[in-house]
Amino acid sequence: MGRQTWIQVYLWSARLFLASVVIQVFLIGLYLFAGGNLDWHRFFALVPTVLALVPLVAAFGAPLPTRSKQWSAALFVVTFIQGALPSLKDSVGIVAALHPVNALLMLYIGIVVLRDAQEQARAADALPIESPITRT
Amino acid sequence: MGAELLISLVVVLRIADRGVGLHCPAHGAEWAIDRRLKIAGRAAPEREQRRERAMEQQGSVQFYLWSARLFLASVVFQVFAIGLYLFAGYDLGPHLLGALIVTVMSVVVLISTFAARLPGRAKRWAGALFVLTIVQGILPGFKDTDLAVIGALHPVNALLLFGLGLVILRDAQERARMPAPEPAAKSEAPATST
Repeated sequence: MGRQTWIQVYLWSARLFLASVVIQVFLIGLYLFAGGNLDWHRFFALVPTVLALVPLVAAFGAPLPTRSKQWSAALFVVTFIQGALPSLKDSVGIVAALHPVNALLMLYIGIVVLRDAQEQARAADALPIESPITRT
Repeated sequence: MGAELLISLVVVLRIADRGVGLHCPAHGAEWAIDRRLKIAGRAAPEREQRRERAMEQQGSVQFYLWSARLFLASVVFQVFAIGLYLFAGYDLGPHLLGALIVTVMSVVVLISTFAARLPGRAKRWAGALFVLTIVQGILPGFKDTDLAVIGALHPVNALLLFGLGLVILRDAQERARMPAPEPAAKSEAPATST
């Protein structure tokens, strides 16, 4: 797979990750305010987790600068922690209470990764294509 | 001779009134000196005033920056408060108190954009932040109605508030980084009369 393709994967996975966070938050809203099922929120949690892994893979596949790799790794770690936090409800409730705060952190890092992905995509588009005619 | 004196008197009065020189072939040199003295005398307090204005502007931008920071902090606290209710057995009190703080902070952000005389875009963002904060308070009211799905947008709107808060914070940081305008402007330099 070419670098351009990896960058597009990086960009689109960042976009989809942010969309999945918004959907996930809406699902918990449905449970809390509209008599929805909590299982929707539980099962859908898999989607942001998988989508958080894709930018990390793409950042290494492209390969992108260290900063991009660090941010996408942070995104994956924060998303992974998010899944673990509710299980602390009965033991360390105050730590489990960070579950919604961590969701804000996921959103923030997701925005950072998306902005980075947009910059990388712009930079890749701006690169001059070497023409065989002009090469002397 | 009398008419010339009268004309000179009128011209001098106009100079004193407007603080600018007028060209007269006979007295041009003297008036030019008088004009330079007038501008030099006026420039110092004007420079001082401009410096004061710049400092005021900087102070207002700092107010804008800090209100944006505190708004974001209040949103994080508010989200933590609902986490305490859902996961740690606390009551809803801190979340309800937090709602008041977030609303007050959104008003402070809006006021700070007007105090700092920021451009329309910054005011519009702050206005949108205030509107979204009010909407956030209304949304839970849909819970036991036929429109409960709208109530489910309460946490989504919280994300929106956080995102918009970040946009405003970035704007405030950029404005705080901007250098203060130079105290002396070219147009105020003493003019050489010809």
